[in-house]
Amino acid sequence: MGKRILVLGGGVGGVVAAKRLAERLRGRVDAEITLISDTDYYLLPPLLVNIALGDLDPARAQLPLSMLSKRGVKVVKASVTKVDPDNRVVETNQGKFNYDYLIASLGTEFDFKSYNLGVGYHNYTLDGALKLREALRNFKGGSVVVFTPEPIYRCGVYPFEIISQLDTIFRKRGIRDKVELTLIHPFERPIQPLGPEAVKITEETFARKGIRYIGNARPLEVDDKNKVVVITADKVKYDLLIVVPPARLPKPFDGTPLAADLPNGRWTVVDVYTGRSIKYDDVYLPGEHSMPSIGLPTAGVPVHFTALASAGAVAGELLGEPIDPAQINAMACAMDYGDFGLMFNCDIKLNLKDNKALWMGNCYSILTSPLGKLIKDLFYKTWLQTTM
Amino acid sequence: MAVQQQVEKSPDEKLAETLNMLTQNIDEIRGLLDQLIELKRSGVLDSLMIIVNRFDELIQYLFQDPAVFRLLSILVDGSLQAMNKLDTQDVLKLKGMVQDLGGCVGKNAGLISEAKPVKGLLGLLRALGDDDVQRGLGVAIQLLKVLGKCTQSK
Repeated sequence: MGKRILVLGGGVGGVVAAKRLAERLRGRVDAEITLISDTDYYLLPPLLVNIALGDLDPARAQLPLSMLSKRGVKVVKASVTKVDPDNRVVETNQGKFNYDYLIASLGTEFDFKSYNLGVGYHNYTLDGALKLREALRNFKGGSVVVFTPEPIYRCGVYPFEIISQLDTIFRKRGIRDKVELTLIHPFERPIQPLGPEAVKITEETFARKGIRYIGNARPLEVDDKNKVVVITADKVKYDLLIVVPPARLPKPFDGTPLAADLPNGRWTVVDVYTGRSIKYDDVYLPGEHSMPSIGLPTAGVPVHFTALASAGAVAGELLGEPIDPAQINAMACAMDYGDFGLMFNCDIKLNLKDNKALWMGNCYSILTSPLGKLIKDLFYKTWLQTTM
Repeated sequence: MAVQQQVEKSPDEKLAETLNMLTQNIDEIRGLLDQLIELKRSGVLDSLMIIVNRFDELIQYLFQDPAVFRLLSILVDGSLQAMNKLDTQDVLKLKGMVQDLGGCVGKNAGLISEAKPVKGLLGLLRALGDDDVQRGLGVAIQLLKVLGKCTQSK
């Protein structure tokens, strides 16, 4: 009987790992690759902002997961409910699946309950992006607040991008003078982890665009009755609220030995070099849920490369070939600030002794120019089109 | 707010719509096919397909070695920011200097490999007797002046 490789998640990590495994193993090893996803399409999350801002039709931000079948990957539509690494079983709403190797990349749960965030708009799901698109279309003026209560959320640069993009959009619509833009964020200075160059560019941009930044914010809650965001030092009135939900551990990992309580939250714990669980040799967890444990941001690029590293490790083991983990030494990030775009790179140093990827503050701009918007657009759309 | 009712089209309607679109644009479609066939015959399409199919590998190589990003940061981003501080006359002067100096240095690159060490004060005095060295020293002093000025203004 062939080896059963189970891939959980139809997002960046799952799809990248499944494709790479199929490329390496097909026709060389008796292995069955099954991908389980709760949707039948692959949607590239960075493009949700384009949908919300009305630049992109949702159909162009996704691909059917069935495309993986041409590579011999079996796709099952099901919701994962529990991972049981001791018995090598994954439970779903469509039944149980056994495995010899597990690669799980289940993203993060979006916590809309804390701080009463559920009353705001967001673009963290397709449905959320479509509702935000509608709200922005109908918006005629007033106070727009982007509220980021905690430092760990999907795509660290997103709040800084959306607030800058909103300025450009409202200018184009001729209503900028009727709009106040405020970003509430836990970082003392905007986009701080990327280092001084990014902070300087962002602060200058905010000053030029008239965006109010409330940093070092200690959030309490959203009071939707009075339409204010309550932070310890202030109450910020809003007419349109856009929220950035904190990232949490996906439920299927709850109560499993795959997760641990860390200073920055409860997350799955992996080896920084391969994405392999530090407790189970047959389990790889190249998802956003593992990124905080190794010091990487909860975003697509580090997940993509950790997934390649995991797939490389599994394929190497099955083929009896040297393992080429393909983990990264650089992490580029494309940003759109509305009237110009940025490409930033962060040098990454893998510290195998402490099992951490060091990158904070080691970032520099590769391009800060209106051309950067085009490059970001090309980067993400090509990323999507070449994933499967 | 007006509510738009979306009506799902039947497969027959979709087919009729597609055929209608093809018929209306038949000349353009023929032209497009001719171009595609030419691209395929010439091998351009195959080259493009290699780039598309290996895009993820390309990104992977870039992300494993930050040297390319560092080079882009210094040469592209650094230069772009510097260029934005110039006016038209500065651009023309700088361009002329790059053309003249770059062309001349390139033409005489062989002389650099023939360079001999200048030994002691006497050797330096002898070298200073050369017209080209005198002009070069003048440029170097002027360059030092500019460097000092720009460092101070920063």
